Amino acid sequence: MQQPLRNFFQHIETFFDGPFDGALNPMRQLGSLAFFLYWIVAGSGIYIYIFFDTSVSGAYESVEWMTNQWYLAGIMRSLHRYASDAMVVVAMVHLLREFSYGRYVGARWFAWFTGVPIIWFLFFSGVSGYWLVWDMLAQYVAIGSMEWLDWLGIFGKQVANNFLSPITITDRFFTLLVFIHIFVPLFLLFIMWFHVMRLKSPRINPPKMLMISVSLALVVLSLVYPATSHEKADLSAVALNLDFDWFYLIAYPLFDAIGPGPMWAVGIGVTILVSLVPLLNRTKREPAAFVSLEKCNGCSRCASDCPYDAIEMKPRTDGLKFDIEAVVDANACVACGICVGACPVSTPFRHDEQLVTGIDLPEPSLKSLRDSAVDTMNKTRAKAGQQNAIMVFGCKNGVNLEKLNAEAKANNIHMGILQVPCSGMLPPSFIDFAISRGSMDGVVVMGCSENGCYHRFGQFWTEDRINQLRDPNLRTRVPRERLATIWANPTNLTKALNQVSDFNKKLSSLPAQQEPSTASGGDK
Amino acid sequence: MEMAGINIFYIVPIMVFGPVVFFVLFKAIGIQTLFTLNDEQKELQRKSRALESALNVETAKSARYKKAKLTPAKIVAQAMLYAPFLLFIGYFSSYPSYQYASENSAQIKLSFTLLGERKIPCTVRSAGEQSDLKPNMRTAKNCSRERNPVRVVFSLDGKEVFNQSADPAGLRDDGPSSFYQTFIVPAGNHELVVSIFNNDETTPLESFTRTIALSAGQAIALTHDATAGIVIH
Repeated sequence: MQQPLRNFFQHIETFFDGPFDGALNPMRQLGSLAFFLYWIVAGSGIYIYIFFDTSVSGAYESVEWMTNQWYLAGIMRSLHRYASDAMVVVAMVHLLREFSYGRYVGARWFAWFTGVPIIWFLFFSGVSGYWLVWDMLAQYVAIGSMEWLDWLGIFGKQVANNFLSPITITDRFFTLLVFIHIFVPLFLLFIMWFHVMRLKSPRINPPKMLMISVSLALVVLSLVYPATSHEKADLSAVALNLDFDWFYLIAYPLFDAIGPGPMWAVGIGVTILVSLVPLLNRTKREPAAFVSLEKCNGCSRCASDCPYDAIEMKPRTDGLKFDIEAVVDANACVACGICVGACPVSTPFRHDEQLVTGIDLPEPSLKSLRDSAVDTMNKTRAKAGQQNAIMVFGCKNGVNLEKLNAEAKANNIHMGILQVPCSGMLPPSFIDFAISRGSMDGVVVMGCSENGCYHRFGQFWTEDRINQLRDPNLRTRVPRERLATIWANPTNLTKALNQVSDFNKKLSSLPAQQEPSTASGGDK
Repeated sequence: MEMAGINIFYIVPIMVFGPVVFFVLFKAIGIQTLFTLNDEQKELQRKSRALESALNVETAKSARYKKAKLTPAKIVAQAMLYAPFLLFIGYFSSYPSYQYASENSAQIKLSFTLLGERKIPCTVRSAGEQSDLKPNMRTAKNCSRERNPVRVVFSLDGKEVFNQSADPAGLRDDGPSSFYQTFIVPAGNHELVVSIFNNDETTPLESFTRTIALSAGQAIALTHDATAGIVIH
């Protein structure tokens, strides 16, 4: 189920890349969009609360007054509803997308697990909002909710008794409902903060242009199709036909059909099942990165670059003259290797039998990368002869490198392929090494589609290192015209092939490099 | 003698002895350790500040998105993609309508909170029995806290549609028994019969019979009041 879903999302994302230009692709901004929608809901909620009458008799009239002031309070009311609805959609798609990409295993279990109560609190926030309008829908939802809670038998007297007749509902009880609608969303925000707290620099704000376009879109919807109410609540009547908000109230028809007990069973069952998804995945967890203290000078670049906050800098323990050392939290490490790419000691030029670096992965280690790169480059150079030889360093979550290579061969392009867990694992010195020692005519660094890095920051750090914005920098001597970066997901094979083909043509137009030689290890 | 409304005789001792007490606490007891760092702590603070500044330099260049290159055509295409999304949100925020019950229906709710009979009936204490008790325990009757379950039977138009027994609430079974049930019925005349039984007895403690005309969409509730018995709202 996961792979077809992943293919589906990748196709959708590729489709959206066109109009949204990659950088604004909302499919890669779902989490931050949910945060942004929360702020719209909160902001519009605070505004309409100013005009809201918290009494049973006045609530409906105050909401009606707002609805009739179509140009301001009416827009705010509609924004409050539609942004809430959009938040449900965005959150559910976010959940499905993260599931399809397998971003819930290993260290990422925490974000998944804390995402489950978010669903509950999101629904509870929305449902409690429907109570306050105090129309016939509010009456239906409030009674249904209380009947559902009453089944637990924890309140002594039935809470639903407050809704038996017009005389049983009091202002005091209604104020309690208002209180619930304020505090449940606050708890929701608290859990949302919990949800991202283990991530380094969590992105909780989408790009500005996306915020503007989403806000505009919701305002347009609010103007074209303003939110309205049903008739005023009347406890001596029963609502037989209701215009339903299916985003929040989808469980209520099921509740009517199966009753409170089975509904609790369904709710708790689904919650447990979704929470346990990380345990049901049998993907073997990759061994965590490790530090070699004799090569670590405590520069903290690995800690700074780790997208999962899995590296902490602590006081030195080995007596060397440096103040601090890197310490890996194996539980938080997902073995993406970005720390290896960040370590200034990770250079293939060093002629060191073991090629020990400050921080490394057990598999693939920096040494194995260098050995494979040397082997691949020698073979590619030999096969290419006088034609261009291109070294491709690609991540395992992007385009299928084997397929790309086969297609390239068919187009008479000679490529050597080396796969890394994430493009961010590649120390920039490997690019220098491939051109100056491996006699490659060009180097391609490939990774997931633009702004869609599986390991969050690998793509950013790679580009920053190449552009000398972030240590370790790619040396100035490396001819940038012999380097290409291609960001593409597995559905972009043709696009990637075209880019490789263009790059190959560009290389052919460049003046010849120095006499090709055979790659070996590093400097002595 | 007062200064700013405060008797100065209260202030002078504090002004005189306050610094003395503070000096003693600061020097002799070691409160200064709360305000000053030893060498080891200073070294740790220096390292942590160095680390913070190192990390800040790097995170200043933290993950960022490239700026989108938007063209009018792309903006139009975006608008075309937003349209179905808005349509989806707008439509499902109110439609399709949900039919809770057919148009010609009415609703009857039963909601009873009934205190069952005591498990052991009360006995009257004699004067001697009362005097054996502590003064605050001397009540005229000796009653058990525990109560019996209550059973409610509801018949609609001669057909029994509800027959439920409920245990008393509370850890000591001393609370009321609660019943709550809703029924959707066709609009029109209906005969309602409610009987309340103590535990599994066959003779009802209370009975209620009423014929009522319900219009479409009407909702009534049958509740129990200690003085008025079963009432219809």
